[in-house]
Amino acid sequence: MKKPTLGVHLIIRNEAALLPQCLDSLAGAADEIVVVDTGSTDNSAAIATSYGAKVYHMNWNYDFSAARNTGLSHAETDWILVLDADEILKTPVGTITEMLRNTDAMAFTVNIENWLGSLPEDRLTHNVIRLFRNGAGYSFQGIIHEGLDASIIGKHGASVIRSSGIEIIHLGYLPGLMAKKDKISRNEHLLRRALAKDPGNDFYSYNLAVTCCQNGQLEEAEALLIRTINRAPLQASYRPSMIRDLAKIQLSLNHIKAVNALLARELPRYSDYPDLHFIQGQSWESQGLTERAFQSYQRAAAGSEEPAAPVEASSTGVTLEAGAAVNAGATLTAGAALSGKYVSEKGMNSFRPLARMGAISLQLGHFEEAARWFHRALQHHVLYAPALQGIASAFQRLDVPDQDIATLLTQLAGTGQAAGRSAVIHALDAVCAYEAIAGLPQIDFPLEKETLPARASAWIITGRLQEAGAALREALSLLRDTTAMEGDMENLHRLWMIAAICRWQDNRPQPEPLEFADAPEPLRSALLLVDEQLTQHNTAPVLPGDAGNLSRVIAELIRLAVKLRCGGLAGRLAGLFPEHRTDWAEALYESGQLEEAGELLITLAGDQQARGKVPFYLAEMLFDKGHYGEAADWFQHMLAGTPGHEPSRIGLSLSYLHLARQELEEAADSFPEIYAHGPLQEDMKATEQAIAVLNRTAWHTQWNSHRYFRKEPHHEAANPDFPLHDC
Amino acid sequence: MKPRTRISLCMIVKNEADNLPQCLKSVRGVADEIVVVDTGSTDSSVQIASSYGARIVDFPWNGDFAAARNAGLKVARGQWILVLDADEELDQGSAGELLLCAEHMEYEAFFLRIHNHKGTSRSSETITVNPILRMFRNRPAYRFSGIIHEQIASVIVRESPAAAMHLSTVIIHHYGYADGVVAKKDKIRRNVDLLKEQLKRSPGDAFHHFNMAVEYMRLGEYDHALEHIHVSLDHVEPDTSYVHLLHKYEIRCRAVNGDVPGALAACERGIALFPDYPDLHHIKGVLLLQTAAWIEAKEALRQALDIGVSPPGYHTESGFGTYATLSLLGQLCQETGEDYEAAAFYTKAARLHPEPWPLISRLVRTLKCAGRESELNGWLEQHVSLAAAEPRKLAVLLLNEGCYGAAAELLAKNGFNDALEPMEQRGQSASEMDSGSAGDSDGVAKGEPVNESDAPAAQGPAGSPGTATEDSGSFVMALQKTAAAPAASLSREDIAVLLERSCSIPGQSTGLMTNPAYQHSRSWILLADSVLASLPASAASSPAAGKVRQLLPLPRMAD
Repeated sequence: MKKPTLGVHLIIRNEAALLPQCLDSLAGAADEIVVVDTGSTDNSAAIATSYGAKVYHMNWNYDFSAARNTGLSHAETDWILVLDADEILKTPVGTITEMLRNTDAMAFTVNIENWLGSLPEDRLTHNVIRLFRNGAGYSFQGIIHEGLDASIIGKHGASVIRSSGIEIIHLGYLPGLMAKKDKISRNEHLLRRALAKDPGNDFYSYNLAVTCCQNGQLEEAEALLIRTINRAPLQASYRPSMIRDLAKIQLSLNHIKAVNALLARELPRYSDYPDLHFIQGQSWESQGLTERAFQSYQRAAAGSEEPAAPVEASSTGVTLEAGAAVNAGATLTAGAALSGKYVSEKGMNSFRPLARMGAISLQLGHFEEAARWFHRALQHHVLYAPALQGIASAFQRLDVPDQDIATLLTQLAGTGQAAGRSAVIHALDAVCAYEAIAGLPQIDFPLEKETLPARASAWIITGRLQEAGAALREALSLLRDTTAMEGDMENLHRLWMIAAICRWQDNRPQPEPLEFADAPEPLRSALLLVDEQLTQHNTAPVLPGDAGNLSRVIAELIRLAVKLRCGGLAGRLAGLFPEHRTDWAEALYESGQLEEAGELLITLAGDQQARGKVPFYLAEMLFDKGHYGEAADWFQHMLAGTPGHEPSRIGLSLSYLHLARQELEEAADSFPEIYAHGPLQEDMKATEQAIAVLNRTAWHTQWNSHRYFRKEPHHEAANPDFPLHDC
Repeated sequence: MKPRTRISLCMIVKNEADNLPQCLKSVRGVADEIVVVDTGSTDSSVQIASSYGARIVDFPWNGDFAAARNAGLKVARGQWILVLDADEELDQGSAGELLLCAEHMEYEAFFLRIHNHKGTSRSSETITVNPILRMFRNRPAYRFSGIIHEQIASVIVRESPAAAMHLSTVIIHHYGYADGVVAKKDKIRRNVDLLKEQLKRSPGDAFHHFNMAVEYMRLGEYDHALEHIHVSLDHVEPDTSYVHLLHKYEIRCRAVNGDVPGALAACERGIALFPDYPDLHHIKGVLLLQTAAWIEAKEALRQALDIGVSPPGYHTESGFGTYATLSLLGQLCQETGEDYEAAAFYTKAARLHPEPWPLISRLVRTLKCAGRESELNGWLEQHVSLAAAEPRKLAVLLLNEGCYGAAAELLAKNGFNDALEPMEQRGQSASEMDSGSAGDSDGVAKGEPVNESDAPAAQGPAGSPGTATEDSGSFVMALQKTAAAPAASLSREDIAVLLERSCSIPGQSTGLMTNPAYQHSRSWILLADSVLASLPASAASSPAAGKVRQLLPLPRMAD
């Protein structure tokens, strides 16, 4: 059979920035490139022409389908593949035409991998029809999110559609591109117009919901989705995605009851949709129902142990597997089963739930089990930061020496690439394995800008001031010339602070003193002033012009000094600037130096200086010692000053519950007979259960010095830029 | 008119003087003859039985229940034998039905429904209902067998394979079931030994294996129980009366052992054979609820509900198919975030439950946590007339739930002024209640007199209108003030004072509620609840706080 011809079709408007990348991915192998330009004012058309494309111009009439169909009318190939300018074809054109040689299908779905961020796990995959026979009379329908499904199914039924395993990367959701192209407001405008004309169109209202979501209008998105879901037929292909999106929105809005009600209804229908199980797990966790959350994550990860079968396995497995197959030059199979049945975030059936299972095991004190779960997560995504940190933490709790943990992480992540090296160092940093970081071999771990703050800190903490000083001086002098370009002020600021602490901590005469004058303003004048105070023992500080900035820098320096275990220096700074004793006390407490912190906190309270978080930390210390009545007073004190301080509110209610429990015990003592073995015991149990649930909210300060996780990656969906998609 | 058939009541007793009168009174006009086999009473049992016209048979105890029973059967002269124990009585509403049964000579035997009560009074909760063969034709061949768990049904079936039996709805009350359940371990061991003895003689006896399983379950040895259940299931005739129970017990044993999938599979097997047995559907719902399979659980519970009260042939747990199932559906809806539906289920359950107050508490909690406190009184008035009929008790409940506004509303509306007279009398002690334990014993002691003076209290305001109005006003006003105050400004003392004063609401001062330590614990719990309720909905910990508000102990309303 003759090799069929393949044409690639695009519609564009001002895509000069992305178009080359897209057309490069065709590697000149397409038999035809058809581009419809709907009014570019840049050189998009010229770029297309330079790739040999046939470019047709048409006026933009607010109808994507019309534009697409214009292109189709010019097609001269046997098959048509539809791309967007912000997409990259990952599967070689040759592999595709090879596959088309022996098929009786009329159309194929492809896997779209939406990139949502820079991390490898920031991926959302879904399937859509993009490849179909020319001349069969198929056309696009819908003025936005135009689709072929209706046309093909209407003519020949769903059985002529196959899944292909063709991989397309979609970059359009990367935050930078989203902001740049103003795509969201354009879509919103179009969809509102379309809905006004056709108010009952579920597909439009669904996509408007997605757009609202991308715009941060979550409440409107929720209302739209609820309405659309209620109307949409059960078998509508986009229904499960709507459920997922709604659940995600409700989770981020903290409408937990609504999430539970929704998933109770819908999960039985889509029990093979890992994202739904994962969201259910998150909602249980937010209610403190840890064991139940574990079960949900287990369901999400069900099947992740099986070797990913190329076609049948759901999204992520397929993505990786098919990619590997393409890279190896193997031919694609036109399987009958639809791969990637659902819109799915990367890792939702593997590393994400597995890492949560690890975190829960860690919480419950099952450290070996935790290590196993994290390890399994890492087998699916070796640089997944929560899992790397988790496994380090689990091994620490199992008393594995930090050095051995470093070796293990290095083996897992590899040192060949900067991402791996940085993942290892950040994971060790997160568990305070400073000796291990300081001892990393230079050959495998050269000094790099990204990890320098962590490594210099580790050297300072472990007393290797000279090494830290030299590395910092070198880096700062290099950066002095390049900063203007990089524009990474925050990182530079941090490096200067670390360098300053290192310099002041090192009492030896410096061969090459740090020149504070090289620091960027306004940091420079603050550092110079502090340096003067420290070295010349001036007692009357002269305030420079920007007092606010100075105060901020001093607070940061004190906190950093405590963190870098330069306690004497922190004390000297707090002595020189007594209004910052609060920062000193807070930093000591947060770093887990409780004895020193305790004395200072009590002094401050005695001096009526209980500002900032001082009352809260005092309350916590009293609470931890079992003085619940006094703890309650200090929690209330904190709330009087900061009514929005959530941890204090939880702490206060916990104090009350402990007091209730004590009274119940007393009541049980005074009723030796019937009540002691009935109601009172039950009430005590219920109270204890309530205490346990509240303690799972992580209200309490957590110390990372070989004790706990630094951060609980609890609410992943809390930020508004969560991944959604349009199909 | 032909003379009606005669019924002989046959009992065996030993030192049952306390129970006998109640039992014998209940069969007046039903039993034509009473035969009491005395196995060695040292109290007045024999005299009491004689005073009711019983024929006494002395039968020295020889360790064999069946032999003792049969000694009575031998002398009975009626066409029917009715078997009761001394701690049982015939329900008065059932006498007519029992007499009617006796007219149907085409039957060989009747099953009666044994209601096992938790306590020793009719009003105490029924824990299970068990259909047992208790009336049968008086024939020489029908004799009990078995040293313990003496059996008659299998004998009748063996002797008259074509015998017709009927499942009646005649109710027998059996008291003190709870005591029987917690029987001494050594007594159970003795039963096990006796049964082992019997199984040596007839190893394939399904009934012995069944009884063995029951004993092992009482001992908490569920693995052993399961073994016997399986043997029994292998040997039992499919139409034997306790087959459904074997299935229920198999499910229970597996569930207790943590084998939820196994228990669910056993449920399915049982339901296939007994689709109209509500207990199996209910238990299936419980198991599914444990695995968070909400939809399936709801479906199973709905099926139990559709059946309703168990058909007469089944051993049934009270409330399965009715209020217990409804209450579980309420829990389920709370799990899935459907507060309104949950409230509806709790409401229906409370209307059917013989002890409704715990459910009313649960209902109040549900509505309160759903932010519907202002609707509480209206809801209860409209849907739970039982609660509305006891406004004072309800007010105490509302107060102990922290629904101060609703409590004030209710008290004001129900003329709490009238009832305040007694409180004025005890004005001094009420005002000094902060002093703690002294106030407590007073409270308990005065509970009764307060109750007594409740009725004539209508004349109260006329006596000293000024102080009474002021006092009542101040309590209702104190409640209103508390309701209006921001949560953070409340102290434990504020709440404690209200709780103490609520004890002086007539008719409520019993039990836990008046214990100062218990009151303190409630005040702390209410404080914690109000702090949790003050978290904004957007707070990260508000879902956990919501969960905790449901978990907190409910007020313990006195019976």
